[in-house]
Amino acid sequence: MLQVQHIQKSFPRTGEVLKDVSFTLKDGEFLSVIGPSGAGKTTLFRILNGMEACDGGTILYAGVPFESARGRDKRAVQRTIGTIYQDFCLVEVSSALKNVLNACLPEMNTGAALLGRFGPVRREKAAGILREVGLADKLDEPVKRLSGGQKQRVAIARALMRDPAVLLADEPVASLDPVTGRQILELLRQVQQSRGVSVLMNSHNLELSLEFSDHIIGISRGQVVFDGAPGDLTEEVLERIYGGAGVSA
Amino acid sequence: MRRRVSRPLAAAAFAAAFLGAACFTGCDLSVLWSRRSHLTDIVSEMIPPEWSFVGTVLPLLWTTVQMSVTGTVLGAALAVPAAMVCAGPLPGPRALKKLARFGIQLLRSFPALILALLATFFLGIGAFAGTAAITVYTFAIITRLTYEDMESAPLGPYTALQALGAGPVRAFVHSVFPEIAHAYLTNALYLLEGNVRHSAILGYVGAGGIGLLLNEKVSWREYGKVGMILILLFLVVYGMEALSAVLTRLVQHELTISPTGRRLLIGAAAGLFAFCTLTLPSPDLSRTSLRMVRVMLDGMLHPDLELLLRLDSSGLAYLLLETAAMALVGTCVGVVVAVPLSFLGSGRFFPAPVAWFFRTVVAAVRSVPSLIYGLIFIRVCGPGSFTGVLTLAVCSVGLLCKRFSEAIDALDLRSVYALEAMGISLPARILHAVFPQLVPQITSGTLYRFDVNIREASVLGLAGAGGIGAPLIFAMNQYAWNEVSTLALGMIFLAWLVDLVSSNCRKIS
Ligand SMILES: Nc1ncnc2c1ncn2[C@@H]1O[C@H](COP(=O)(O)OP(=O)(O)OP(=O)(O)O)[C@@H](O)[C@H]1O
Ligand SMILES: [Mg+2]
Repeated sequence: MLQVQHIQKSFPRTGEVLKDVSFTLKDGEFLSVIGPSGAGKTTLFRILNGMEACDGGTILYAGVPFESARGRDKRAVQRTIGTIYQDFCLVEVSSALKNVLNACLPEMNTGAALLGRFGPVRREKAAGILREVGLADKLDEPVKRLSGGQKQRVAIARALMRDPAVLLADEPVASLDPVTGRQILELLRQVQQSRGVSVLMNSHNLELSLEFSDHIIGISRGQVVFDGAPGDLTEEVLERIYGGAGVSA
Repeated sequence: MRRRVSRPLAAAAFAAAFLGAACFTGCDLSVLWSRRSHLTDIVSEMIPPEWSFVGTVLPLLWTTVQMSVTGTVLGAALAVPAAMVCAGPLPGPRALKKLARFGIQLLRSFPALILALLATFFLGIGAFAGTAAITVYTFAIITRLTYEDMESAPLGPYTALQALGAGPVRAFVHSVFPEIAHAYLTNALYLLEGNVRHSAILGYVGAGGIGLLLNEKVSWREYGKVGMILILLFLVVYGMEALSAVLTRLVQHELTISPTGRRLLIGAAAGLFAFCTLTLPSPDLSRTSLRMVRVMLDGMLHPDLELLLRLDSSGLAYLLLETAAMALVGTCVGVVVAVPLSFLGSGRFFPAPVAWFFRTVVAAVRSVPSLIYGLIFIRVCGPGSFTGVLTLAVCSVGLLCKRFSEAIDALDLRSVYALEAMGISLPARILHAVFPQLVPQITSGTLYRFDVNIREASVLGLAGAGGIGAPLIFAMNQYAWNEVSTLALGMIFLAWLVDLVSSNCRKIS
């Protein structure tokens, strides 16, 4: 589904953040990226969804090169990627339904997009997805009146609206309490299984990552230091990932 | 550490500036006291007003409302694309953004009256020129406020929509617009009610509305008729404020209406706007010529350097200093009076009838255009900048009270109740529990008022109350464009300086 090869990235002041990152996300897989704070996980996700350019390496989404694509080609790939953020990134004053519908903006013609004329077909679809994520009674509620877990559900619904092949989730549960966090991950797994979507997640919650993932990647100081099944993650490997860089940071 | 050192220093510098400015503008309360009978005479002559005059006033008053409605709506609408050009987060050449912001700042330096006078040169005498001036004035202010709001809105949703593949404009419209919509509408409504007051004086420079008649009646000392005009103006401004208050509450979701009601309301607003706009008189272009524009541009490009460098009381430096001093003293006096008055006008601390009484008095004070106060005070204190100070102080009281009362009504009173339960007296409760909560609003209201007063001060020149306005308007009427250029540059400089000072004050406060 997604092949990442030799990605490099440096920032003017911070220096080299990603040195050489390669991994493969298979179709329908649940992959977790773990690593200490500042390891470059958010940077990696921003490169993968096209919000940041990388300095070297290749990214292939279903065989289509992404990092070199520009304009229309780039947006065409972006439409197959759904991103979920730690701080939700929803329009707080708009309703849940409107937030989900916003995902359709890229495919609409200019007039309809600017005026927000989404049409009944898209509305019905958005409502259906909101029901699927368990928000049947919150369609017209402004997002600012929802709880954190409900907000993340809206964000997942927005990502699903485009029928993505991949979901990128950058710390999806970090702003939630443990119980709600687990519910959100259960929802992600349910989506992954019922829709066959591949999920790429990054979380500081090691226990949840191990429980929900099929595949784990450990990043430390901009390099992949572990790539394997959750079962292979021994104390010694964890030391290699978190050690030195400071787990507590 | 730095703050501790700089606070008393800042306070001392401020006190020195205030005292200096008060001396400079010749503030002398004994003059006001000894000649107070002139003031009371004028006021008593206004009562009873000449009721028969209503028929003459109403059509002109309608033109005034028309000018402000059309001007505000057009200005606010044009401000949206302009703010998008200026806003940082949207892509676009940095140079263009800088240039657009600079242009907005230039426009913002002038009061509506000066813009109206300029408009009469292009569009002829009449309400069309006045509407154009109100449009430009509103446009400049709302553009500035809106792009600042756009820049402080959260950008996460904007980036998220872009990551989904939406182009920047689409993503912006659907992520940032909803977040700033209510601030934008609140600003537009605030300007709408203010513009009614501004339009009421544009007639002085021939730009339509009630101003010309008002000026005439004040100069002929027909105070009964002046009283009549002021009463009607009060009713219009009061009505406008009430309407705007209801609409603001709707916009901020404190009031809700059914979808049908909403549609009706939008329809009514659109109808009113269309009616106001379509019944405007057309511009009179007979005197406009390319030659005139060329002469004007030529003069503007060659500022009068002699005026720029002259150091006596007719030179640019003196005029700017006088304008700034008038605004400073006027604003400070206004704040000192407005703070207690706004407590009296708040139903949360005083019985409803008392609060209502003070609110109405303040609303009446507010509904009189500044120029009229100028013309009245000049009969009391004579021409000069002291008259300007008094005028600005009274106008500031009217507008600051409104702002402060609104802030008081929005206060969290739990700490006050806690003190009340401990048996602490009302003045002590206000001083220790309410006042500290209000400091940010008072600071920002005062800075905003100072900014406005700098511009208002230049309008008062028309009444003979000192400042840069009189020479500017005189030069414009004489077509002395090189002098106009120098004076306008001075005003732009002053507005820029005030902007700089107030953004720094916001930072340290
Ligand atoms: N736009 C930027 N400009 C400069 N430096 C950046 C930028 N974005 C990230 N960095 C730097 O890159 C490094 C990696 O940051 P990143 O946010 O990717 O870490 P992370 O692994 O997501 O950490 P956390 O787990 O705390 O979220 C940090 O040192 C950060 O300061
Ligand atoms: Mg991160």
